[in-house]
Amino acid sequence: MKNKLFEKKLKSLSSKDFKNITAKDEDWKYLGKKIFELNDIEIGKSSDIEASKTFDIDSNCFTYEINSEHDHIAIVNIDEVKKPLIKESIKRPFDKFNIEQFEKVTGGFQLNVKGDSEQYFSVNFQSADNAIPYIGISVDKNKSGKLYLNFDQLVNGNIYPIIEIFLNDNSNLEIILSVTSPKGINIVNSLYAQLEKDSNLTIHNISTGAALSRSRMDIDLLGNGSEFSLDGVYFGEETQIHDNRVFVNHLGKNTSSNMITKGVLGDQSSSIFTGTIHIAEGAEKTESHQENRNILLSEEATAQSVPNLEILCDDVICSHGSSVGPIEENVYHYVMSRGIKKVDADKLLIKGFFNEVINDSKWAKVHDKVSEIIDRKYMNLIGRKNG
Amino acid sequence: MANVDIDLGKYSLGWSDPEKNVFKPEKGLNEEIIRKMSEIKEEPEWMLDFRLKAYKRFLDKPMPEWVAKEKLSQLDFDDIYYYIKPTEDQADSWDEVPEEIKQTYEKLGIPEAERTYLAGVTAQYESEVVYHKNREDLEKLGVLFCDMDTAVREYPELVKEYFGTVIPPGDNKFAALNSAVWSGGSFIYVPKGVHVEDPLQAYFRINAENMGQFERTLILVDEGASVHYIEGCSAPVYTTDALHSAVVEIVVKASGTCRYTTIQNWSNDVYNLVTKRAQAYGNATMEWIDANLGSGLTVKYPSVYLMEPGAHGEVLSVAFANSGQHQDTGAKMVHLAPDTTSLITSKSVSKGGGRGAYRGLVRVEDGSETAKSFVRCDALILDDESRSDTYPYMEIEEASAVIGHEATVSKVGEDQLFYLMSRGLSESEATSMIVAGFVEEFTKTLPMEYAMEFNQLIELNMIEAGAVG
Repeated sequence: MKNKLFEKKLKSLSSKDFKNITAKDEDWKYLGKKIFELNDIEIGKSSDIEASKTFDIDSNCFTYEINSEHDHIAIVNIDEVKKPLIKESIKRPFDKFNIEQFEKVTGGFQLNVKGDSEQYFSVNFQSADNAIPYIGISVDKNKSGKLYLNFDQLVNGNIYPIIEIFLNDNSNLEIILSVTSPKGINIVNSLYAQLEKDSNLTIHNISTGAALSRSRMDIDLLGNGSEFSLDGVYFGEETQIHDNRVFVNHLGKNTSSNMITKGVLGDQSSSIFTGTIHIAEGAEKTESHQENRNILLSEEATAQSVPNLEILCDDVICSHGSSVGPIEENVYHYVMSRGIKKVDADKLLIKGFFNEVINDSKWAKVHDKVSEIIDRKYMNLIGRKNG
Repeated sequence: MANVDIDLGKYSLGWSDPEKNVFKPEKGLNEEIIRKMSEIKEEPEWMLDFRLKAYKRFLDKPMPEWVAKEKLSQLDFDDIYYYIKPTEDQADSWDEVPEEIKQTYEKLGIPEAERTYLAGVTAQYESEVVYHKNREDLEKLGVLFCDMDTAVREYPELVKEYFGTVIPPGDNKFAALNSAVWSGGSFIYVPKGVHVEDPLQAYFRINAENMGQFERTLILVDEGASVHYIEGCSAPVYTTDALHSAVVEIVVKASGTCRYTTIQNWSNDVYNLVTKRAQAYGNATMEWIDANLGSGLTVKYPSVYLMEPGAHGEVLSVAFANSGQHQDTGAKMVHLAPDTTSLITSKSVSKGGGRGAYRGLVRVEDGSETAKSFVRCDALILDDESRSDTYPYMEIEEASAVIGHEATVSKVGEDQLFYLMSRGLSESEATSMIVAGFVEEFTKTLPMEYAMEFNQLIELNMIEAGAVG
């Protein structure tokens, strides 16, 4: 089902014109056999989903109707949206997968933050079949909003969300992107954001669930003084794949971005991190930092880390760092010499590793949940190890 | 393998190329040219086979798309002489050498005799004396050091055993091309336990072939032996060749040490597409020290395959990308055994619209227990038109491996400039001093005369108007 909203985009672009995705494509590298499944997304039979059926949108335990307004947030079903949210004039990278997402969109909504709200607005995704929901988010000038996109309760069916974000001047948006669903499904999302002058986008990314949990973020810092920050955690067990790709484009002046993602990999799980910081010509006074840290807990776990920099401007401060390794011996020694058993030491150190991210006050809403998941996943690993 | 007889007499002949005029050169490449080339060189059958197979691989392989796509697409393989350049293509006299190249020689204070050689005007055979003396010393130690063509004739067993094993012809398009049409390059064999004290230098072996387009170098360092080899020279090499595509293979046996230093300063219209790879066995050490100042496009990622426990690999890479240049350099470390360690240090400077890139890979295979690797990339951008990229790949399949990567990109610090300028230096002097300090880690690995020349060259590169090289 082609949606009217994307008609213009799809007039000039068709997935048939794009090459099939292969493991040679930089953006899909390391995904192995999963790539085949992604080349031709199969949508569930009951794909004519109405937004209200597929998405259980709730905030503070109330259920809201689509096309309603609450807490200064207006929600409109995409069938009724007339204008695209983002500036189509800005060149944005597309591949076969992206375009197919737009071609096969199964439903969705646009969400407009009109007034300041302190509370998180939660969107709980539920799906019984493969689905491609569209989530458009815009924040009005000088306003700020918080959003909790919850992919925690998907049991059947893969989900391939398109997320588009547009931040007007001096606006603020904080998003929690949480993927903790059971390990039987795939979640592959494409997120694209445009940030105008002095706006600020923060994304907290939790990725502990799904067989394949992939998120690709393209962030265009268009306006001077715009800021982007991303902090994320992932924890892999069994054969889980956690794939995070972040492409930040510094186009305006005085922009900044800050990224930190940390992950623990056990069993045969694997993680992929690709981050590119691109600083365009003339984007003076840019500051950008990127960090990716991995702990491998098992012989069969793997981690790929590719933090890239592309800098076309001289007046910048830029750094990136990444590491992969086991827990350091001397740290073990320190903890165990204080009478703590190896198993407990492991648990403690893993907690400490993640705490740098999740102890931040901004994580308050999900801190306990994430903390509990980390504990449980660690116990699972130990349980399997001991047979 | 160490008991190869050395026939010194042949060496003195090895340098010239008396058959040169027999072959009428033509542009482009086909099987016929390769057969002819092999025949003139009096190569054994296996080498001809090797060349022909490689040629097929070259035709089959697509042009790489992940690097400098635009520049590479302008490369016309049919417009290149693959064997023996016609004399009219070389500068016939000193007068034809471009003015800026001459000025550079002047500024560097290079002796007159060397200048003409560097400019490609004449092959300077006088220097053979220097080389010959060097060789006598080596002969006493049992070290074999000659050009590759000679080695194929003189030491067929050794060459056949290793040639094309570290870098198979199918490795990449340009390695395939080199395998098909290689000519010249160096062959070195260092016997067990022998330490070659002074660096071996290709610099003195002044023969057109050694500076060739498709040179092929093979270095074998036997158990417990050590050698330091220096290739290239810091003064700009003027050439009319469009493409330089070398292959360098190195095998370092258990407890051996090899250091390979390159200073590349081709003129700005050259495509420098080089494949360099070494295998390091138990407790061996392999170091690539690689500086790139010249060429229009350099694509080069020296790599070390750490084959057995305890092997250590190091790459120290310095790139200076000036106006019109794209330096796509880096390193690859592949850990295949436990307790292997590697270190990559990369420094790049971009200026005047140049593009410097670090592209690297650290791969740790499953079972390489407690492998350790650290990558450090620093980049300086000196103006708003230039570009600096960092693409570090890390593929880790071993839980006990410890891998780290850190990178920074910045411009020259205002405070550093202020400090130096308040002490009476001009801004450009201060900047070049800071840049020289930035790459000092590299400079201090060089023999003194190279280091001095290298520093002068950095200074020249920093002067706005008179950009050279």
